[in-house]
Amino acid sequence: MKDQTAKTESKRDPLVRLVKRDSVSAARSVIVHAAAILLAMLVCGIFFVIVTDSSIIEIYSAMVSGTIRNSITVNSFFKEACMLLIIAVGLAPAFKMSFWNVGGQGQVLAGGMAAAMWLYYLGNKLPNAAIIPLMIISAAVGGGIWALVPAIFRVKFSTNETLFTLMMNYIAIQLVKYLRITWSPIHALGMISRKAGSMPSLFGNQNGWIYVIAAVAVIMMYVYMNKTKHGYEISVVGEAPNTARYAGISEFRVIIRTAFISGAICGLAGFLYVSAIDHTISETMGGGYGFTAVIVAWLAKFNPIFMTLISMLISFIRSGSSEIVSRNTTTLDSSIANINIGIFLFFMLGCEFFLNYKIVFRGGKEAGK
Amino acid sequence: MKDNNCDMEARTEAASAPNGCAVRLTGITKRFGSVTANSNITMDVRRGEVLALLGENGSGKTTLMNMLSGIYYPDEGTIEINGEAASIRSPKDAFDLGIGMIHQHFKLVDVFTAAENIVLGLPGKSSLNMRAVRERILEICKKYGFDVDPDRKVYNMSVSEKQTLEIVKVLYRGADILILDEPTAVLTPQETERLFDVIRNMRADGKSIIIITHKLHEVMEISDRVAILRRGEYITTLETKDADEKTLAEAMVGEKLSLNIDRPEPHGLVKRLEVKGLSCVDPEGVPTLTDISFSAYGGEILGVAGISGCGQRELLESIAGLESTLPGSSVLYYPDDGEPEELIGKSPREIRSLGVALSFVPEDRLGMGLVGSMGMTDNMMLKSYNSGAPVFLHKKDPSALAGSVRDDLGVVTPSLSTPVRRLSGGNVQKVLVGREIAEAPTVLMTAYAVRGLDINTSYAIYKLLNEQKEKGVAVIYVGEDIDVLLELCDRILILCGGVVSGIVDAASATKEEIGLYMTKAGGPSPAPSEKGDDVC
Repeated sequence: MKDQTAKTESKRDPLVRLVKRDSVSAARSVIVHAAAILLAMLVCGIFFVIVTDSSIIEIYSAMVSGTIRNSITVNSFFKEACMLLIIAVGLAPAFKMSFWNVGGQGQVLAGGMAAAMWLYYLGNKLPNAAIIPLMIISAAVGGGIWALVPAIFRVKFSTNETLFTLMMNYIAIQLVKYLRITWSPIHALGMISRKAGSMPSLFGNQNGWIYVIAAVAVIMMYVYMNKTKHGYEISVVGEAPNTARYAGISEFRVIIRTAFISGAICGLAGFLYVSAIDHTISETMGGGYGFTAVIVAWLAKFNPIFMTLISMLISFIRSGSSEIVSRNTTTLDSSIANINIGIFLFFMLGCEFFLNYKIVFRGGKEAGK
Repeated sequence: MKDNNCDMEARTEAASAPNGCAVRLTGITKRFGSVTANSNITMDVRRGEVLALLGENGSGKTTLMNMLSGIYYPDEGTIEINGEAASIRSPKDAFDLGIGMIHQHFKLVDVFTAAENIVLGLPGKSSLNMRAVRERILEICKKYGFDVDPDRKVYNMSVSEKQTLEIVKVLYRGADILILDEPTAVLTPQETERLFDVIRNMRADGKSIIIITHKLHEVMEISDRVAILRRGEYITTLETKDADEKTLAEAMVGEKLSLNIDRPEPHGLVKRLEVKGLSCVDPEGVPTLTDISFSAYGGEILGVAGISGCGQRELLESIAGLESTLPGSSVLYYPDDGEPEELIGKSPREIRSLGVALSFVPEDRLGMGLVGSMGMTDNMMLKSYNSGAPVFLHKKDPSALAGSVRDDLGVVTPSLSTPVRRLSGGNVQKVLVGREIAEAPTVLMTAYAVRGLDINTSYAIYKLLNEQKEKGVAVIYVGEDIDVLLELCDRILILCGGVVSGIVDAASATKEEIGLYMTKAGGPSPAPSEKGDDVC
């Protein structure tokens, strides 16, 4: 009968089995992550060798040179890393609270629209010293409202915030498309002076303010999440809503407040796109970083230092890839960068498995990392 | 009965002998990282016996059974089932070998019926003959004396019905070896009795039953033999008829014990709480508490008895401000000086600042009261984090408190920042109770404070409660073990169907008397219960 076959089968130990690890030492974690990054780089390199017919040395040197060749490429590398980082920092507190905010993209656009509004109506009429603070505040409020709406529906009607924040992205995209037509002066550069509402340079660097804002955001978010009462409330509500109720923490207040902060930081990123980078709005603003940032925040387990490192790695892959694309414009286009970022994320997510489990082969031999 | 010994010679015939070994474990070792959960365990289970597996929290009982049921795979050692070496790689392998485990946390799909849950995951043809399934279920029920309605949805079932369903599920799959992990922890005395009847029927049918439990009197009542584990090691197996509760407890703990609970004479009683006309309804409008009135005094322990789900939770939660009450309800708090204060309408935080502490221990210890991913220090400040200067957290006091709770209550933890979810159940509970007591409350409410705890820890908690009582704290103790209630408390309030059916003096009351109040006899007429499946 069935029983018998099962018995003969089960005489032997399983060929491969997985053993959950109890805890992971810091050293092991560093080694596994480093191995994953090297493997990802190796696969990226091999991929380019196949599609471009270059040697692997050429590929890597092109990627590095595309990043550090001159001050323009270096600045572009840091700028992209910082923008991704700011959005990831914005999303982190919401995730920590188990509020799955995948509406980063929409919140960036909402912030961008709110900032561009001032540009359109008062761009040539007010001095920058007045208009930039107005842009910053309204961008934060705009992004915040974009996150606030799903939050209110979540606490009042228990709607699913993942779907809701996702859908809010599309509303923002359509609104931007509409405004691009009605606000054509911003679209058609030149109607408004390029200087109007532009972030001034800092330390002689056009992106200076972006770097400063990213650094401040990372540090403040670290302090906010780990050292403040608000951060503590976020952890309690995120992990144990019943415990929060029992401790007298108002779930309503914490979710509303945190969602707003999360959206406001994303909105601030939208302001930076309008004021310091694009000087216009478009629905592709931010290049999908609202989604990439979700993975950055998760991979880093909301640790700001890791978020910084991962953002820089992704930015490196992006700048390196576009360098290779620019050398092979006949065969490649810019979407190659996304393929490579995908390869990188695949390895980074995959290594989590090896951190949490070890593989044991029949006969008790253990597979290494 | 002499030669049903599972020694070496008997082993070869074991498969054919009617009283042979159903399970034989040899040198089983299981490690999790640096922790050795089971170390070189060698023991056996006979056919047609009830074996109680006894051990303190963290002694490795559940781990050992999880290896039998295919959830873990042993690092070392061999398992023989019915005399044949077996490698149990998955729960499916375990089922194929006739091993079924009923876990503490039920694994059922809420929106499915009983019958659907039973066939879930079974191989079969593309069309499913539910009528045949139903008949088979009813046949099993009839054989062993279960009461299961195959068409009832799981979300409509009480805890004991769900447990019954789990047992029927494994029997349906042809299990001959059943493992029950603390099955009585969630049952009332009556339900426990019914479960034991079923277990006896299964034993008579030749099935082997392994039951994990902490309750010594249940071990004495139901088991044929008792296997004892201590800190991951196998100590011994005793014939139940040769053992008594005291020897078992000592074998389990490894030292001499006294199994008496002190009850210091209450003195200097002061009225602390006066509950008048307290009523609650659940979200569907069904009354959960009806016109509750009683007083609690500083310097005494007021026990609350009752079949589970008769309003104990609602009672404590309404006093703590977590449950909304009907108009006309009143809970007066009498401070040392000044006028009595009305607690109804105050927020949990305001009530707590008056000194009314609720140490509520629900089925899921981590679900309410603690945050699993946080260490002891962060959990200590759960209620006090908002005090002190604004904006930033102040971790100095909570850290000192965590240290003293760890030392005073003997919490075993690698460090104060180790996530409490990694601690064993007993230690988690000590952290919770320790924090509540540290607040120096004037009213301390505990619910099921010792549920699932081992003997040593339970007694440590009784001692803590007595210390609070002697300090003049009004202690309200919701318990499920009537023997303990009678020994520990000064007065016992009995709830039945959301109504106070009696308040008795614990020193003179008997178990039978309380049992009667629990089932309404002698109490006032019961509240109309629309919930047909309600235990009351």
